[in-house]
Amino acid sequence: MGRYIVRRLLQAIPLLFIISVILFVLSVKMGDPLATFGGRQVIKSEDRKRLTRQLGLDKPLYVQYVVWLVGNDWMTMDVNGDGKPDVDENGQLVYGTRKGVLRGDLGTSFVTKQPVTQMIAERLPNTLLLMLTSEVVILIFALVIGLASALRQYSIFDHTVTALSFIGYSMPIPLLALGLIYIFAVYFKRWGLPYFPTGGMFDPQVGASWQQTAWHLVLPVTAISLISIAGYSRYVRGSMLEVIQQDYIRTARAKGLAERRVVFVHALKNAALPLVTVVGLDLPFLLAGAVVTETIFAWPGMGRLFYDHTTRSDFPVLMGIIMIISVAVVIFQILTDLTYTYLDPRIRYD
Amino acid sequence: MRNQLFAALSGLMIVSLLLSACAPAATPVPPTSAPAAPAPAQPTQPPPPTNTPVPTKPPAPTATPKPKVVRVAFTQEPDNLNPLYTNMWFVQVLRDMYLATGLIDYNQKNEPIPWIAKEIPTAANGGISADGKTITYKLRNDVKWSDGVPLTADDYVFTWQMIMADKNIVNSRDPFDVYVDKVEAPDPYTLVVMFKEPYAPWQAKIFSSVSSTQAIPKHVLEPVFQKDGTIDKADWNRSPTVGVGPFLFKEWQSGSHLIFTANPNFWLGKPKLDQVFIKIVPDDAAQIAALKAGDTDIGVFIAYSDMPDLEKLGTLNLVEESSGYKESWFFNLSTDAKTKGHSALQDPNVRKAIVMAVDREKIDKDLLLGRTKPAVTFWDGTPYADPSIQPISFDKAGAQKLLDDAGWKVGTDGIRAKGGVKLKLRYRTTTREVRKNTQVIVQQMFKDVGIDVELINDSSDTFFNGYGDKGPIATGQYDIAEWSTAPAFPDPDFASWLCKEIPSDQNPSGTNDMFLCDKDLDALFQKEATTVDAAARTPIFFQIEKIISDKVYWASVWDDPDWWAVSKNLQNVKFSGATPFWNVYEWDIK
Repeated sequence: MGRYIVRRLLQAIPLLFIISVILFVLSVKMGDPLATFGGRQVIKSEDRKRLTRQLGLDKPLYVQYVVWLVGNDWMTMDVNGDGKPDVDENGQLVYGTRKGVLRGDLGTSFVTKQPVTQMIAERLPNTLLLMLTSEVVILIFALVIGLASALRQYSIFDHTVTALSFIGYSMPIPLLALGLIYIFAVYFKRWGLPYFPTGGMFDPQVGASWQQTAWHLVLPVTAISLISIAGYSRYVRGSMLEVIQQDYIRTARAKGLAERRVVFVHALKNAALPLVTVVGLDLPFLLAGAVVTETIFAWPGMGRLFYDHTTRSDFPVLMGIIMIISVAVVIFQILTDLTYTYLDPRIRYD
Repeated sequence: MRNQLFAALSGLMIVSLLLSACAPAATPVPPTSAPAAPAPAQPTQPPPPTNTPVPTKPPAPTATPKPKVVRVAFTQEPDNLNPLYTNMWFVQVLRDMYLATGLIDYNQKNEPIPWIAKEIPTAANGGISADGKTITYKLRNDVKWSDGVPLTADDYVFTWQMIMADKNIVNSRDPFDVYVDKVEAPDPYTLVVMFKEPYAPWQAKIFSSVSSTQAIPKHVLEPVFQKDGTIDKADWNRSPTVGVGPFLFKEWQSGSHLIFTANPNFWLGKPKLDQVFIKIVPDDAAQIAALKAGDTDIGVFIAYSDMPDLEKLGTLNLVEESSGYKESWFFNLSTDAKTKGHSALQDPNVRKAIVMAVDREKIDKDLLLGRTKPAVTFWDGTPYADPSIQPISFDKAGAQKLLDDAGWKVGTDGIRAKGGVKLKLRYRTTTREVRKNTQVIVQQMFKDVGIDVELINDSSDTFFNGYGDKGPIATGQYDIAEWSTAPAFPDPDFASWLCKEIPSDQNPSGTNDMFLCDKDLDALFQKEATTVDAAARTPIFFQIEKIISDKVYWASVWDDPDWWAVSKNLQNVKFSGATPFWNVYEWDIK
């Protein structure tokens, strides 16, 4: 098992390298970070010339990639644009200050001038709070609904839930999110009912606290969950229906096991395999946050960080986020494969 | 329509809410006290039990009244609070709160008012030298940074040095790189700015509140510069706790909010509000919902389509402020093979016919609810606009005649052509909804006079890309382009129509995306930029406007003011188009 994990990790290195090259080219070519540089008008031509040089955007693409990967503390600099390497007051050559991704430096944002690592660290806890809460809600409801409709196939409950899950599944999330805000924040307040906030993480007139955060979580979690519960519960229902007709379930029943034990231990453990695959694929993307939900509910998470910096072509930040997610995908894939061995003893990696 | 939809959805939502009741958020937190409620002090918790006998009169107000907090929604998050490191309009707005070191500020009428400068330099008071190349400011001597250190001319000199330092990757060096020779402080309260040649926009662009060159605290940032060689990553840039403004920076939580609290030592007296809370609400529709719910007191860039709903509520005022922006049409006048526009556009009469063919008043009425109308000159709303310039009115027959006379005859397919070239134009703009709708209406109006049009849209993050990044406008991939732009408001200076700014392989950073090079216009723009005397500058602009109008180099689709929504509970809020929060120290809550 240990050798298997090491082998998988080693295999991931060239993969991540290729991913990083492709994504770097794509994100650098995606847009012009200097177009307006955050303003309402295009920037002055003198500033464009200077910033292109100072930010290293005048360098060929492969040099920019090498700097991103291994840093530039071995390269001389020419930030004043006189064509000669810069020297300091003592006449010593000036070198770059970046260390590169391989040495843990994800670079500096063009937009905020902050280290990318720090920017991600500020947002990640908020995103994890929102997304893990949603994931738990989704899993609980998906299991309950999926099991119930599988065990009572073609009952009224099954039909109703099937219909509702299709509505939920096909609902565009912006509509759902704004619908929730209008009903539970705007109209409930107008009607004098207890109401939820329209967005953010706390009410400025009350102050930040965990109760406030929990209260502000309700609507965004509901929006994310409603859409995903539908899909997940269909997986559970489908695989449960398949498993429950297997011979070994009949055997388990025949030998007189309690129905509860048949369903929850014998059937569910096998029926959970497809769900584990789906969840394993989904988990790394929880780090990416939910762009639309975070935007509409003004939740300060990773999705918005990514979106905001996409609109400004701030590729150090984009690359940082994408690479973290890529690494997470690799790790969660290995974890998913290991979970299989627990759920299904027939699967062996040695 | 929308209400019905929501009503229909509500059943489903309620079910779902009940279902989600076992989410971790189930703690029965009472809803927040109604923020929109008028200010009477209201305890947020029930008063603690007391041993005193039950009072027969209503309970006395608590000793500490509820803090006066104004909640402002921003659709964009600031990038950096150091003025040197941002071009963002939203940050410029905030600077009048936490920094406020502008020598000159602007009032509700966009008129300059002395701020840290004791008076506005003029030739009469000796502030402007005879040759127009030296401006001398006398500074107030009673202003202190919030940590008690006096604000002096040295702070301004230091700011200039930081803007020009090679190791600082500042957003803009304009206008110091091209126009300024030296900045000096002969004594702590005198600041002298020496220009290479007379520089007309000095008032707005040198250390003013509207510029991004407001002074930064030398005593805080100089040690950082000496230690790190740069102030790019100074802590102050993200938490500017030292300022001279009416409010002090308290907190910035990335992606969520910024908090500014009243500065008790503000030199004009303690502000009336206790706190200004800036909420980052990136979604326009969510901002409107927050305004409707009373979760926010001030919102900006309100879309015209949302205005009737907001007005109906009765709790908000809609306020219009000109910041010089005009939704504009630019014609691609390039004849260079790489950036070439349609050959017909070289003829001023064709350009005039194009403008005449479109009923812009109707577009503004239909799409913008008649709350704005086409601007006549690029400088409308400033003292530099010539009132005698006549607008080009909608005249379909006139447009057809002009095109006929210019040799563009209607072909069998209804499209005009001349010498085998069809009059088919590329009409390019961003993906903003109102612009797309405008395109469709214009397409029909063009068709009525025999002009074919191809509609192209780019997302705004690629639309303005530079020539080097193959930006669609900068490389001339259009015939008519539409976007909103402004002069160096409130100064009338505009450099993007200078011949030397035309982008090309040799000059990839040029900003003249209309490829307009008119020798007379070029000379006038150069002259206005060096005419320091405002009285002499105005007639130059009148001449500029006449040329632009006669030769139809530019047309406005609508005047594009900034629209604010402000809660009626707020008092004394007087926005300025140039510096919106200039009087934030006078704001109050009813």
